[in-house]
Amino acid sequence: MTINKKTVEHLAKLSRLRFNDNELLAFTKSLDDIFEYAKSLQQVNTEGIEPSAHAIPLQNVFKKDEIITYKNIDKLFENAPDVENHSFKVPRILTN
Amino acid sequence: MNDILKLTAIEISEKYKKKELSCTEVTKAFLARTINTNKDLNSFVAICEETALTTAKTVDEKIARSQELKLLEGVPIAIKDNMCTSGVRTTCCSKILHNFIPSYDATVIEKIKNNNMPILGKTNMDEFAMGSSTETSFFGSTKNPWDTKTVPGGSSGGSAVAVSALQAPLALGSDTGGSIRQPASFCGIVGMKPTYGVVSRYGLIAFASSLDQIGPFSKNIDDSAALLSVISGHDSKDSTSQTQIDTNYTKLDSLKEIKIGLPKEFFANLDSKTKELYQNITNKLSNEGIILEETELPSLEQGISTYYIIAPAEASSNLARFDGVRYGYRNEQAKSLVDMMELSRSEGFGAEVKRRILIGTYVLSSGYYDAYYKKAQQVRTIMKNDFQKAFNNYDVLISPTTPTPPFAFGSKSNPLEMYMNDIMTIPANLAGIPALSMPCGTVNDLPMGLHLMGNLLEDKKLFSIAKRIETILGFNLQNPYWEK
Repeated sequence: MTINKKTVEHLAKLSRLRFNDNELLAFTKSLDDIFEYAKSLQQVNTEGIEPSAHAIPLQNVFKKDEIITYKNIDKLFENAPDVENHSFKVPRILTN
Repeated sequence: MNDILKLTAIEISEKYKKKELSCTEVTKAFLARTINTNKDLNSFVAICEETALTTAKTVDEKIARSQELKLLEGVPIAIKDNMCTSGVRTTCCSKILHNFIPSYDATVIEKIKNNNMPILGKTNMDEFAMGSSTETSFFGSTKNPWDTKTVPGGSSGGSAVAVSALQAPLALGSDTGGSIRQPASFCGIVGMKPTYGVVSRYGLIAFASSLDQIGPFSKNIDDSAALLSVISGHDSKDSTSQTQIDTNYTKLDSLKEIKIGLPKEFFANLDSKTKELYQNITNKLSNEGIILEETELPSLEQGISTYYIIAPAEASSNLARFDGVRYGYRNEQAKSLVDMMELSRSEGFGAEVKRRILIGTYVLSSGYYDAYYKKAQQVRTIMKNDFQKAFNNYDVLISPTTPTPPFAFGSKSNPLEMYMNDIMTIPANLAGIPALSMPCGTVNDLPMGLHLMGNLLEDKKLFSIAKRIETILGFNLQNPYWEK
């Protein structure tokens, strides 16, 4: 077994997700299946092979460092769940 | 059945030029078909009647003034719901974006609008494009017009059904591991994933950025080539956009000698009926003077393992932005910021999306990075090299698009079993090469696709060979739903 319940609990915490016991069990099982299957990768000899982050070699793209003023600020907030004075409002961050 | 619906996109364009049809007439015909059949098929999650007809009116004014029309101008189109459309709800078929209205257009949408193509609506998909059946959509699954008890494939299932059920002559999808080609195969139509970077990803809600690519769905090869000509091109808003692209795919070449490779890894585990279908196809092509040879690309066998490490890794990072702060679903009861984020994400994402976030977080976490993520990236390099070697010898590689015909709803409840469906389509995304699926026959009265893979940036050659094959195979697109 590659993945256990404790691992999934830790991953959930890192991913900002919460699960009940049934969900934890189900994800543990499916992740374990998937990583058991993915073990086949270990058989491939990759000594000296460069990893590819992309399919095609990419070059950094530069643009001029210019300030472009965006005028329609209200529009940017239209999708926000809660707004105050052109700021995104969230529940309390620091607790007493 | 209105005969307009059966026309190809290019036939519609020709009829505008000859003033035999008006754009309003055509747009109304497809809108009526969509509205009448959507309750049954659930392929659209939004229908944009008013704006489509406004665009149609603009085109009709141009036709009346005998002004020259742009490529595909006035041909209606359906758009997958992961491409941002200004002012029109764009949800990725997820609860977490159920109320999201973009303030801008994706670059592909800008191009579609620039050519006055009426947008009929937004199509259903697997949540965040994660799935092969549309069963993970927050808005319910889409039905396959060939047999409504079977899935249409995914993730771009809604777009494939729109074309297959004659709701739209053209549609756009996105393909990260086969999400255009597999539903095209399941629905008996053409679907194409261009070379990575040929079409801008700006405004496409990201799933796995190094693999995602937008592409066309259509009734035939010519229509897909025309649509790619409209949507392709360098875009400074996408840093992975190709700079040197020939964006005219409409004048296809007629090739004297075509040499095709058959990767034996993709023909190994087919059942007897499927094997027989592809044997007949290779015989037909060979009789027409096309050279076919069996070849080996051993790394293809690692496609699923490689993909299901790399794609979730990128997804777990891309989907970190959905936190209930700036847009999308928020749990209103939470008392602290962390609670709000955890509850919003847990209630907003479906199970498959959560699974991929967990996989991605695992393979990127310290201690597992080298064993999984780096290893997968190295195998990705080997796969790219295998393809390059193959394309030194062959113009294209062919295989089935999927191992089986469309399957029944609920029949693949084990995630790994669902992932296996993408075994033949995934390698093209990992290598960035262009690939397409074209209808080639049926097994148990359900459509099967022929999958063609071409070399990097040889999208035009891929279309040219596909067109030659289309002429030889002559597939009849008509499915039982056309009579409804």
